[in-house]
Amino acid sequence: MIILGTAIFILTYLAIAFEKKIKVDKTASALAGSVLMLLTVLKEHGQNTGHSQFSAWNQHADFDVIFLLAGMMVIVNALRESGVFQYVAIKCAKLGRGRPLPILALLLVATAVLSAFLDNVTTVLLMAPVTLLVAAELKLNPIPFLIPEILASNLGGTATLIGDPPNILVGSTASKIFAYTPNVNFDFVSFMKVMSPIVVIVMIAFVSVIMLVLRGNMNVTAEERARIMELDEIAAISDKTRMWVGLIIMLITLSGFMLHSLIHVEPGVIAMGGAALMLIATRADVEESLAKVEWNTLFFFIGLFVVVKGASAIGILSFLGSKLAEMIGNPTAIAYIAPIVVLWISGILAGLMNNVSFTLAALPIIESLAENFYGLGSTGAIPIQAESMYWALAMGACFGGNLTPVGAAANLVVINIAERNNKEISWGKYLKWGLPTAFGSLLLATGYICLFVYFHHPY
Amino acid sequence: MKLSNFISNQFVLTGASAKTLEGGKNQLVELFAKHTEYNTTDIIDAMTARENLGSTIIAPGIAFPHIRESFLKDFYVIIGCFPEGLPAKDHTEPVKLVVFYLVPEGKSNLYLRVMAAITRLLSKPDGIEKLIQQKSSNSLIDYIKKNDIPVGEIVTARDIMNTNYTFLESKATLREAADMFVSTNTADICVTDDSGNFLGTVTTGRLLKVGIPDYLLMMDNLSFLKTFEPFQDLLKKEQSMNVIDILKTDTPAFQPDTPMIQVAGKLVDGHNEFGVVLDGKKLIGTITKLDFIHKVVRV
Repeated sequence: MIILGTAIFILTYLAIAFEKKIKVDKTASALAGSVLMLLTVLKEHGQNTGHSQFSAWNQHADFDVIFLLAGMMVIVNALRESGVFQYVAIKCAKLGRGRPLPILALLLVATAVLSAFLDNVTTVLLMAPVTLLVAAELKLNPIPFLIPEILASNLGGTATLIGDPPNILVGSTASKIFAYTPNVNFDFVSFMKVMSPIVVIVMIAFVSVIMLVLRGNMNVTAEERARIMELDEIAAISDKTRMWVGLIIMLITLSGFMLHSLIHVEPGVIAMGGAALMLIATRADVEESLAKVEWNTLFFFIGLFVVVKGASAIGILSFLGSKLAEMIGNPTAIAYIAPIVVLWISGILAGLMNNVSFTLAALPIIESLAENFYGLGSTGAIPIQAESMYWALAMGACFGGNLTPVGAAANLVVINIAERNNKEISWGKYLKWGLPTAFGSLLLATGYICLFVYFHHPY
Repeated sequence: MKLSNFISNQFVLTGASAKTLEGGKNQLVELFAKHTEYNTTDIIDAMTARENLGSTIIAPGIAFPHIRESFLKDFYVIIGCFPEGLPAKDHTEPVKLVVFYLVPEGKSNLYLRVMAAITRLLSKPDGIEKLIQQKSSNSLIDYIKKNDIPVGEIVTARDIMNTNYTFLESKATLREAADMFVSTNTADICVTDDSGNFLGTVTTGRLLKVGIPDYLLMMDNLSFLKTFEPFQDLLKKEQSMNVIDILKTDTPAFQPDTPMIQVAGKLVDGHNEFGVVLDGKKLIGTITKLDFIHKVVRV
């Protein structure tokens, strides 16, 4: 059964990694893998004893994550229809007074900020078309706008619990693992406290380098600048009432996230509450709103949760964890080394194989690593020292998503949009930007993790 | 059921003549009124009202006037042959054959089936000429009997399709397509290969899309954009791009014997305005939603 489970796990991950080559959508592969796991490994290991096959899905998939994603999708789609995001993108272009570099800087900051609170794919879907328009009006090559925008989206998403799927996964799992460990939290506020500072640092460095690299390369005429100033951002808002109602509900939802650990309500419940409120308050066509939910993404998560649960059940992930622990060595001597190793391995592997798939598989490995290093406390709780490895995983997976075109979902979405507009972003073109950004941000994160360990868990 | 069973020799006028098409049609109305209890004025009023909606000349030299009225108790077909021709307004070729259909409410399907059978009769080699040259009503009925045209049990795609469609070959340029859209005033043009096999359709939407960048179509709202000039790309590419490059390949396709309900269902449910009728792969006709309105809803 171990061989069978390992084969299902590896084949599913390979199918996901090579979805374009084998022409099988990654969601279909994840669902197929999950069904095979349920019929073999998870059945054999008694993981679903006393449960029907139907409730097995519920048992193995993390529905806090699924509902959090679904709820945010509904909220953002409803808000999107008001035109507010298009307004923001056009406003950035106009604030830059039609000058390419200031426009790019503002678009990057806006993308990062929006990504922190919306999912990255939605953000780039909103920003990329306006960016292409701005580049066309300025008669500039849009690639130096689009690739940095992808990178900014992945960087910005790192800042919050809801910004990037790896953070949602780390937050949900780590909250449960550290539930009995005092002074350790992986709630929305903790993510803001721990992740935002490094994101701000990385963003400042990133935007500065981009400005330096592109200075002098983007010259436009007064007429072209004037065309940008002709854009009427106010007209982009198609429904003011919906915009204000949507923004208020978004604010209420974000406040709910900030308070969720105090009021003991899971983020998934808060997101769905916000979604329900949005549907009621905007009198939205529910059928149409739900049709816009990215079901493909949700089912990908559900399938992958089960595949990873199967792999955990046969112990291959904990085995990998213990092997990694052996390689790293004595935990007391490597208080700094463990999170740094996690950060870099996560960064590179997430970039190579897609950060969501990687994070899901990495979580049980990190748990095993933590147990190997620090053992379980008297209450069975994971010791506080293991906390830094989870933050390192979140940073590594999110920053690593920038490494290659397949590192994160937003990368492929923008590449596809560029292609549809006759602008090819090849692997080579992408890597010129992605590689230095990913390694640069991982380097800055290394220093940040060391400071985190130094101040939080001194040995 | 045979076509000859629907045509009574008392409702056939052969070797007739009149100065105008209107005059010819009035002769048919009088013939009909003479053998029935219906009032000539009622019939002419109904026919005029229908004519006001559009010409009923379906092909050069042939007119199919028709009325659908609740006062009609049965379905009637009246045939008038005018060998010398009837001058018709806006048509260069005089009308030599007038087939007048009087349809009671609820008999639209029968009308379509009979009309399709008559069309099949006329499409035989020299079918129109032979019919027009008949010397008497009895010989005309005999001619129809001899040809043994069946009236189908159900209305099929063949019965409602347009055979007078426009098409382009796959090598045609976008410019040719644009010209054809303008000259024919249609929104869909069929595209075929050299052998007449159907490949797909080119639509006005697809043509215009060439001139609008994809990123603009991704935006929810373009009201913020006032100075952007679309279609520059289209004007640049209209001679270098072929219709095959913008081909729509999911146009609903039907076989000639596909029942009308299935055709209607596909066009209505699938939000398609246009379908094609194929004999194997060969294009033999087109059907639009408007055809249903013209031929079924508003007979």
